Amino acid sequence: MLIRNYLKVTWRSLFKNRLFTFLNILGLSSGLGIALLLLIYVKDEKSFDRYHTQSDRIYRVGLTATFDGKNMDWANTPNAVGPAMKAEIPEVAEQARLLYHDYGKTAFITSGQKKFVEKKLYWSDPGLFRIFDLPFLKGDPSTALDRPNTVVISSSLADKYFGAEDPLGQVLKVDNKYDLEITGVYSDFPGNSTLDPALIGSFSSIEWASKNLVWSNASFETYVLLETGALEEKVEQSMLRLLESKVEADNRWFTIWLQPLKNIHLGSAGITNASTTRTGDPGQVKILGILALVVLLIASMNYMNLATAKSQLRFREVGINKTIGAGWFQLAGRFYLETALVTGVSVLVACGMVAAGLPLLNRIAQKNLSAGSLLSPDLLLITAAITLCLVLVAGSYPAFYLSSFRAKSLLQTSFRKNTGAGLFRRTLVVVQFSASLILIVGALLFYKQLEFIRQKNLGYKPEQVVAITTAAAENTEQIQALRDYYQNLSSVVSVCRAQIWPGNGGSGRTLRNILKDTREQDGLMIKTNRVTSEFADVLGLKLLAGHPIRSERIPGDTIVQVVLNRTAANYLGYTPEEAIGKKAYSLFGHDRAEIAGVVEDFHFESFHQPIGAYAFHNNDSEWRPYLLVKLNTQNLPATMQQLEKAFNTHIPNSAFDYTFIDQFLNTLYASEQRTAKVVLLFASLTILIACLGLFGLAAFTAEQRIKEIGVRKVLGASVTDITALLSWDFLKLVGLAILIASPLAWYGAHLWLQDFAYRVEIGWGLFVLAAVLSLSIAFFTVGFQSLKAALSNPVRSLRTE
Amino acid sequence: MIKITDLEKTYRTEEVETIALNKVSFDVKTGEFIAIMGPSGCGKSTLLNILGLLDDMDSGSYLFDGIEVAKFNERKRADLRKHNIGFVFQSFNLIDELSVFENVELPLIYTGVKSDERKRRVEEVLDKMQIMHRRNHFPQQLSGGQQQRVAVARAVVNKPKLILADEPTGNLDSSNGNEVMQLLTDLNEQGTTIIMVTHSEHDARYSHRIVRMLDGRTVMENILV
Repeated sequence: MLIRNYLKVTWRSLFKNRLFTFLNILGLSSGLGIALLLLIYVKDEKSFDRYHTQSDRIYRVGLTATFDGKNMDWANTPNAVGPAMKAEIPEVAEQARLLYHDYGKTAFITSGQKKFVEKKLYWSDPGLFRIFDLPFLKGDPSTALDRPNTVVISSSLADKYFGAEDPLGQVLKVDNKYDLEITGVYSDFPGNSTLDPALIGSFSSIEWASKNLVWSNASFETYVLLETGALEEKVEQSMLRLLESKVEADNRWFTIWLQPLKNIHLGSAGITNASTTRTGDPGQVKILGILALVVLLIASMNYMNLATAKSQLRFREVGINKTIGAGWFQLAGRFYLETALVTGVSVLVACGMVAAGLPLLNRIAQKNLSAGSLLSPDLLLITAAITLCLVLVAGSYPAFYLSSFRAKSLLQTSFRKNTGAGLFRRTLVVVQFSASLILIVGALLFYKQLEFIRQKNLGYKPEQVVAITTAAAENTEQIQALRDYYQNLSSVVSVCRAQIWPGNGGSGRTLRNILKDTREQDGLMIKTNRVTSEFADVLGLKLLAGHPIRSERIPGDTIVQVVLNRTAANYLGYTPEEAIGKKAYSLFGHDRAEIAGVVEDFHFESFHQPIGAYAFHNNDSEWRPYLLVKLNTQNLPATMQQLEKAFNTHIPNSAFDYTFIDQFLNTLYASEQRTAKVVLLFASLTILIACLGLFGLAAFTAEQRIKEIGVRKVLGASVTDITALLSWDFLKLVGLAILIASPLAWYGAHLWLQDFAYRVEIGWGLFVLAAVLSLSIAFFTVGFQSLKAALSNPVRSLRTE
Repeated sequence: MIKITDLEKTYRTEEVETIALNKVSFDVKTGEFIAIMGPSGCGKSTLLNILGLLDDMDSGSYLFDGIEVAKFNERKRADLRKHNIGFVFQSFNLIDELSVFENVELPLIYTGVKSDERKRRVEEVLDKMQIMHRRNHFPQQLSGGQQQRVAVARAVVNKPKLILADEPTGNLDSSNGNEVMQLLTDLNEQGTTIIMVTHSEHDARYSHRIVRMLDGRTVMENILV
């Protein structure tokens, strides 16, 4: 009975204050919705690879290479590591090596008459299926990869290649080299798996990799399954002993260690040479996690702010209730009930918002998250905990605070006006706006830095340069003929053959200055790229001195021609002019490399790294699977068709696969771009929520000060005077928030930018912009209410109480 | 100074229409002290609000110093008000957050008087009202009589031509009430025109003329002087 009475009174009270109730629910549900969306995202990032039943016991073998006194962590190990560990360390129950096809180059696959290009072909040991959960739809996982020249494929690939046909027993031709029989079909790797091969060929098919076990060529991602109860540290000690027994001290340029599977997705930021593409960004996850908390905090503050403001209007009501005999429990119970009701409705609305907002988040973050995650036990628990906290915290103010006063005090006008709740509310507004401001600065800075990168001069011109893969050509003549054909097209400026293009790796070597570098470990890391003579034209590099290299070495001559960048020439102690004809020591043997030219420095890695040393060369130590074609065309689609047609004529048994270099370079910052978008989106929403609170407070304040406004109007205050008076009170708070937030935002920005070798100046402009933005938003929010109050007829407010 | 002709004002809600003023006409000469009397709801406060340009009229004419002000917009009204009219209310209507000095200073701020001049004039008027010693107190710290003296001080600090007083003694005991009435009489003798709404025959006797109202009309005038 009492509860029914409470519900009735609560409902009426909520309905009577419709605006407040609406703002409360809107603010709280938006905040909760945003926080839940972010939590779903973060949870997905953290759930990577945990779905494998043995995930606690699965490890990837990491390798720390030491060159020139510098340590580098790699995800690849030599092919001997896995088998040796399984054979000699009793705790290792299973091992599987994973070799990325041609070190990550596209595979050309033909099935009957159909041709495909695939970027996700791996070669692996049969142990893979004993380590990972990989349900087979067809075939037997225990034998599928036992024989050479077998392959298992993902179900989506099976659909793509064969449709309704049975793929088992069919043969796939890879790069015109391997004929692979399909022995199994597995269901696709889920979205939260680090591994995502589309095809897995049997390791034994690759003779050079499977027959000859060596301890030097680290090209194999190696996974091991430990026995139940095995200790990681103990296994790592055994691994070191194993390494010592297998590799003599002089050749031991690396150590090996274990990385738990669960840490791979978010814990591999400093690890290079991983063949898997789904590496997460722990920084991003942290930023989003913090964002979720901030949003939630702002929304809760909003709620409390409005709730305390509203409860002040209820001093009188509480006073009357106390006078006629209501006890503390009855009063507190009512307030809690009211809060619970509003929070409950908000949670429901928030869930609706999550369902509506997920497609947008999926698009921005390139994920495939479903609203069903809300029903997972941990998110349900988190949601319940948040709800409970909100009810307890927000409901406690009226429950404890108001109920604690004597009835007589509550009924006195002067007492009602002098309670300290105003200070509390002002503090909340300052905190809210500080947080919003930090988010605005953060989002603006993200954009500024990305824009800076986009516009910064790379030092070469990747625009309209297309890299075409010729890896599947049957012989060099095919490539040569294609190149000649391309070169004669009017839309083509220049063509070169290349090992790789800047931004996408290269070979690592050491350059030595023989005067300075006296010890074995001295020297400078240098990236090398084997190219033909046209490279400078194609890439738009500025030749400072000398001339480009010859495309091929002179037969019988041991001299390798190199073109260094300015940094490399400087390291050798030469100006560009002096460098010509000198030796670049330690490249391709002690003194075989002769400097033919020097080019201006250019950014061959992302802006996270400073410019290092780079060399183009003509040594046949590497192959040149790409044709880099510089185009000059207004009609790109037609030109691409032309290129494709010629490709199919000249290299008939391959598929046309190409990459635009400038587009590829953009992908180097894809993660930052995604984070920037997500942060900007959520920062805007957070500010919106803060404004909802401000709007409510302004309405409340205007209502509370209605008599004062009336008096001032009677005394001659204009509408502008009143609007300014009321707005100023809030703008002051926003101003204070600006003062508090600016140094914090600066510090955060400073930390984030440390990650870039080339970064924008943080500058005052950013803060001024953020301050003006938040002040304007606050002014429009508050100004509306203030204007409304200022335009009201003073007579009504001046009636006696 | 004031001439109103056929003044009409009707309040409408969804259900009822209440005629507050029905073709009211009367004149006020400069230097007059007029009391408006009548039972509750007869329209006297509405009349006072319209005279003070706080409320609109539906029809009729209102000449203030020979100028038609009935159609003035909000800005012009505020301007006329702050330079010419002072208000005294039954419930004092002081701003609780401001001290005595600041309350009295407010009209001078709105008329753009400079700080030094403001200080001088506020102190002068507080002195005259004998509440100088309370200048830094807040309204809640004062007695009713003291609060009304502050309100009167605020009404006169701008040296208005006209003071509109709405039951100025309604919330005061008789001795405080008499003091306030004496203040108003003194101001009137110094040349300020006063129009006062009151229920009290005693207070009305301080005026020169009593206008009696009933159901939105003026029904009788008593000339006392």
